[in-house]
Amino acid sequence: MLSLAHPAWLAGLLLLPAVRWLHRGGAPLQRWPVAHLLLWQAPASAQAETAGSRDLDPAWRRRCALLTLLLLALAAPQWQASPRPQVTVWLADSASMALLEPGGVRGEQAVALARQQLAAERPGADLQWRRMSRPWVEGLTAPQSAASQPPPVELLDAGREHWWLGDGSDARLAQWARPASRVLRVGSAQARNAGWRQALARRAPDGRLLLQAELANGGAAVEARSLSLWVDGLALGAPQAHTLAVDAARWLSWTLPAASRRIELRLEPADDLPGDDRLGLELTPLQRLVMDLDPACPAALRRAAITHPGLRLATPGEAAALALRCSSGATVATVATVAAGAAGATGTTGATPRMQLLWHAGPARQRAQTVLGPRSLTQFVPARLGANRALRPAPRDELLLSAAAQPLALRRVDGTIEVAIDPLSLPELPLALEALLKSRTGVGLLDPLVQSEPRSVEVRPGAPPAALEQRAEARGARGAPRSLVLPCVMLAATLLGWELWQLGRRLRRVGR
Amino acid sequence: MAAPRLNLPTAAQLQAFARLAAPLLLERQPRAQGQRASGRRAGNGLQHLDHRPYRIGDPLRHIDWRASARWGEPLLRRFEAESSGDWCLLLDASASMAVGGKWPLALQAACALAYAVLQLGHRVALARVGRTLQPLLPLGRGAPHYARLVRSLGASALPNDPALHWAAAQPWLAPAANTVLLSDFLAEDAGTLALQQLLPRSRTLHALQLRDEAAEFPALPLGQELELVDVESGATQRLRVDPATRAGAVARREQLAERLRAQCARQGVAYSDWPVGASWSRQWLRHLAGARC
Repeated sequence: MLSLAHPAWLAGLLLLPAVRWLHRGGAPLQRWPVAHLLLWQAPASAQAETAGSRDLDPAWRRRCALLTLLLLALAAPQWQASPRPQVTVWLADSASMALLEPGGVRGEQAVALARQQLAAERPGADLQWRRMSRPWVEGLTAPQSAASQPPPVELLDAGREHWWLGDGSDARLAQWARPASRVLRVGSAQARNAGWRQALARRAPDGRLLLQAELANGGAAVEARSLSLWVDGLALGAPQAHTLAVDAARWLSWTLPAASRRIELRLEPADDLPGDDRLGLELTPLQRLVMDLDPACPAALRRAAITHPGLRLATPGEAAALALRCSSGATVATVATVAAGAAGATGTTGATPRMQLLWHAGPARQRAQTVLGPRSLTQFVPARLGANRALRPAPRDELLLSAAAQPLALRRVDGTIEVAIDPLSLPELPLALEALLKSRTGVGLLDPLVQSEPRSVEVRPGAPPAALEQRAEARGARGAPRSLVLPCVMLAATLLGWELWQLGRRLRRVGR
Repeated sequence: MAAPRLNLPTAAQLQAFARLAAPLLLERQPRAQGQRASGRRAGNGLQHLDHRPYRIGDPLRHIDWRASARWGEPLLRRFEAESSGDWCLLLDASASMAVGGKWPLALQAACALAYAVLQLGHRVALARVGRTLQPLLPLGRGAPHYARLVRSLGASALPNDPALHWAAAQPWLAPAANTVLLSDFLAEDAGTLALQQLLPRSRTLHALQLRDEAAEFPALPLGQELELVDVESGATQRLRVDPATRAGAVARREQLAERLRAQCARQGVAYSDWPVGASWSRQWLRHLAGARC
């Protein structure tokens, strides 16, 4: 919006008629010397016309424009980008915002409250809605992501007001980079909810599957629920009754058949937040991989493959996901191939492994990485490990395993992994085989883990972020008025240059 | 204003012109219609020339009483002038003479005539006439006088006087001298007043009207309103130029020339129209021949 800092200067525009009046005499005439004036007499009619009123000097328009621009520059025009307040409402879309409360769904109540407040305090505002689910897209209908987190400071446009809207049940969403202009908290303190927070499963050494799930009470009252487990669409056992105190959480465990592919945990009866009353988990990644073993492989390697909990030797005619070839030269292109060194070579034997293979009886509460961890291959191999033959690495080969400055496993340029470990010398051979397979396939087979994304079941409103009423600051942040004096002066300078050029032309003409 | 570079006739041109002009300059005077041609002229001398009726103011001692008694009225005895002819050259120094090539032509004409008459033993004087008289050279004769004349012309600046008063030359003119006016005669009276003022003091009077049409009637930009400035007076006049403007100016110039020509014919003044670009020697010979008719 255009405004003037000193509008009184515009009164000078009243001088424009005077400028026009001053040019009534017409443009300066071209002077032409003649020998004697008496020879040059215009006809009487032309004389009368010449003596009459003359056209205005066209320069009056240019000079009026110059005067106008100078007066405008003195009046200091300013441009305000937009007089409308610009507000971004951030919706803390935690799971609790889907809670059904007496007045309706909590999230819808929050949006209605925000609209009411905006209509009262920022009428006609340039409104923008954003959810706190990554990637913080605009709009209320955006799909919700489980990874809710406060927006980065780059998204907090300094030219806009930022309103925070939520129930505060998720403490992470209350962590703002800077105070919000306005905080609207919704939610009833008497809200109740019990639900599944997370579930995880892993394979037991005997081949069965271990399942653990966490049940939590995020409401304001003690909750009693009946829970049931469904495996591949069939209920497993009778429903169990559980009572949970306020803020209590309980881990529950089950042992599942090895062939289980999908489970679903259910809570009954359903409460005001049905989204966390059921939890499903896919168990397919826990199934053993079928491996085609080269008959030429040594017995120790065969034993290692058989004893590997993540592998199962393929029966004749069965399609295999992995193949192990031992100096046979044959390579199956469609499956991963591991090439081992020729058997029969002598090497150091009898070494006691320094590390024990850790097989867990069941999945831990923590994530699998904390148990097995992304360890490098050398951690599982003793330094005294012997080689059955010497490997000669090429310049572009990748060294996977070495002991005593002796390469034991190489990834060749063509992707083949070549191993020179004496299979008779390694009690850790299954673990070494697992490491090699993992380096080839990218997934660990010894102790795979599947787990659900942790959920928030808390529905009691928490502490919102600190609000800072910064109306004046926000208004200022919409952008300081942009001065238009310089463009006016530039235009005036252009006109002045034009005027000087015209004067120069006239002077040259008179000089001639 | 700096003196212009002289473009005078060469010695050979002057000598050729002097030979051709000598018969035309010898004791032949221009006369008005009805006048009788005479080989001699009256003046101060001892040799009796003729008689004429006495007019008030004539010296009484020159009255021929016997002839008066026979004739029945007082007659005055006139004597043949014993001196050679005097030529007074008057150059128009008004600013309009600087327009075009009129001033160089005037200098050429003055030099040529002065050379020719000095060759015949006459005396020559030279002056510029503008708002006032500016004598450049007194009466004198001989080749050194011609050299002085050339030097004085070379030192003479371009004409720039804002007015022209021929009457200012009256006291300077030698009695009974041949007076030559070199001018464009651009004046409201077309120079006729000058003729009336100078003719009584002159034995013969020559009016040479110099014209430069290209400079005097420039092609003004059509359709524009101009401010014309008189180079003499500085007066201005607004004028919207149309195709008839220049034709009107030429016509008015012709009217002025015709008026001057008629006045010269009435008063026995030798008149010539000298356009710039014409041969000065041919123009002089034509003028002198016409003056003898």
